[in-house]
This record gives sequence, structure tokens and C-alpha cells, in this order.
Amino acid sequence: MSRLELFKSNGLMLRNASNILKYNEISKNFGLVLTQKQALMLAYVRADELRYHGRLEFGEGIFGKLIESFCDSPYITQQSYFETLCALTEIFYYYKNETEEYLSDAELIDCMKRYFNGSCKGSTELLSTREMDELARNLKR
Amino acid sequence: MNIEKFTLIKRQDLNEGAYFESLMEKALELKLITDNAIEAIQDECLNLLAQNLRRAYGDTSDSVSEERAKSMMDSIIYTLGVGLKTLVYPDEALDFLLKNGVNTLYLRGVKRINEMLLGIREMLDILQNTLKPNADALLICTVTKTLPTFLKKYNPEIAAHDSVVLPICPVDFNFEKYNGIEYIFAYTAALLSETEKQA
Repeated sequence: MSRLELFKSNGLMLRNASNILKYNEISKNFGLVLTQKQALMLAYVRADELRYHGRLEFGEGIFGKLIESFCDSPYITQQSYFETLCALTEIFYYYKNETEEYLSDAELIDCMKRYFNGSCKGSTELLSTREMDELARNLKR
Repeated sequence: MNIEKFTLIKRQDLNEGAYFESLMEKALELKLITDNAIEAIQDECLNLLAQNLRRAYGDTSDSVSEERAKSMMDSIIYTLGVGLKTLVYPDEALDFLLKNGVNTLYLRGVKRINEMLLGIREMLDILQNTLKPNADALLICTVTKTLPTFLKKYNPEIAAHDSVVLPICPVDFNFEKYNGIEYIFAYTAALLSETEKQA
């Protein structure tokens, strides 16, 4: 196991899933709750996205910030909550690299939230292929 | 009669440019350290990596590119090597690490790097104050641009192993075994020594 792979063990996934479930305390006020299975799947989604995009997470992770930012969105329902979080996770890590880390985590999530609730009207596909793409291109200029 | 201290690990058998790693390998080879001890050291290095990443980037981000993480890890390993070299005998250095742990050794390395930085600043001051207007162009460039650039850009917390600049003024010294700040420190000392001889 390489030095950096010690960060991606299964024990870590379970701990991450527990941490994600803590945010149900906030999101339940908006009718949004993740199950244990969904939290574990999200932990794996995050690990996969980190590996795919060549990133290493050392802090609490972005789920807290994502959930706090998006749980009050008028476009997210209990039925779409898990899938939307998965999509937002992919979008976050992709554009974290695409924006060349120019934006902090909080700034990037803030942009995503504004576009998601605004011009994208809850579409993660539009968020990814249109608004965030344009943002990344503008930042690179 | 000169009596040399007997050591199991000979300094000349170690790679000066990758001192920490070569000492670990040699110690493992000579069974001076167990596999469990090596794993414990690796765990401590990873904890130190997470700590340093948080300190360097944690204000803005909970993740970094693997490239940045690798650079930080290289920086930590280099600093540990510098720390080990403050102990003359490799056996002593190994004992120190096993008794005191990675964090203490790391701080020892940080202290030594800061001493070298101060030393480079002091030597550069002398070089700049004694620089003649008709001096060699390469010397002028090195003293007025290259070495000051090093002091400006060198970041021991994120990239202690990166010597940042490549001085071009030739000096009669073998630098092959040096890298990072050790290279710049040795180079500056040799440059100062040569210019003082010529004065």
C-alpha cells in the first residue's frame, strides 16, 4: 500500500459515513434525511471522486458544507436528495481541479448553490455543463 | 592513535540526498529496526502530513491535489533527513528517532533548516556588501538575483526539498550529494569562501 493510500481504507469509509449522518440533524428541518446505506454510499462516491480526480482529503470533508448549503434548496426533495448530493459531489471535485484551486471550498460551493437555485433551476446537468463550465473558463483567462 | 567510533551503519553507505529513506532501508537490512516499527513511523509521517496540509491549506480547502500532497510528503521526509543529519552517527540518529518519534525529529529538522536559512542570509549580506562593480557578471547575477530569489521563494513548510533556483556562477565544489536548502547553503558557503580568497 502506497503512503497516500492509507488515507483511503475501509475503516475510514465507515467513519466518514457516520460523519455524514450527523448532518441529518440540520437537513431534517427541511424534510431531507439520508439513510445509513446512503451515507456509506456517499462516502464511497467521495472516495472514488477523490481518486479519479487525483485529490486527497485531509479535513472534515465537503459534505457538511454541501448539505448546509443545499438543504434549503426549493429544488431538492427527499426523493432526489441522495442523487443530487452524489451529483454535487462529482461536480465539486471536478471543478475544484478545473478552477485550479483558485476558489476556496466555501466559494466554490457558494457559486454552485447560486447557479443551482438560480439559472439552473435545480438541474445538476445544466450546473455542470453550462454555468460551472463557463465559470472555470472565465477563471482560467 | 585515532580511534573511530564503531557504528553498525556507516554514513558513507547512506544516500545524502535521500537520507531518511536510506537510513530506514539500511536499518531494516541490518535488522536494527522491525517491520512494525517502520509501520509505526509511516503512520506518524501520515499524521504529520495531514497536520501540515491542514496548516498550509486548511483555511480554504479540505482537500488538495495528490501532487501537492506528494510534495508535502517529500518535504516532510527531507526535513526528517535534515534532522537525522544533525546527529553525527547514523546509529545515534536511528536511536533518536526510535526513542523520540517522528514529530520531535521533524522539529529538529525544522530548526536546522531555519539555522541554514539564517546562515544563507548572513553569507549573502557579506557577498552583497563586498561585491565589486567590476566583478564577474555571473557572480553579480548570482549575488543580486539568484540567491535573493531563493530566500524569497523557498518555503520550508511546503517544499523543504526544493532548492528553487539553480545558481550559475561556477564554484569549485562537488554538490552532487546535496539537494534542497542543503545545496544552496553549501553553494553559498563555497561561493563566499572563493570570493574571500580572491579579494
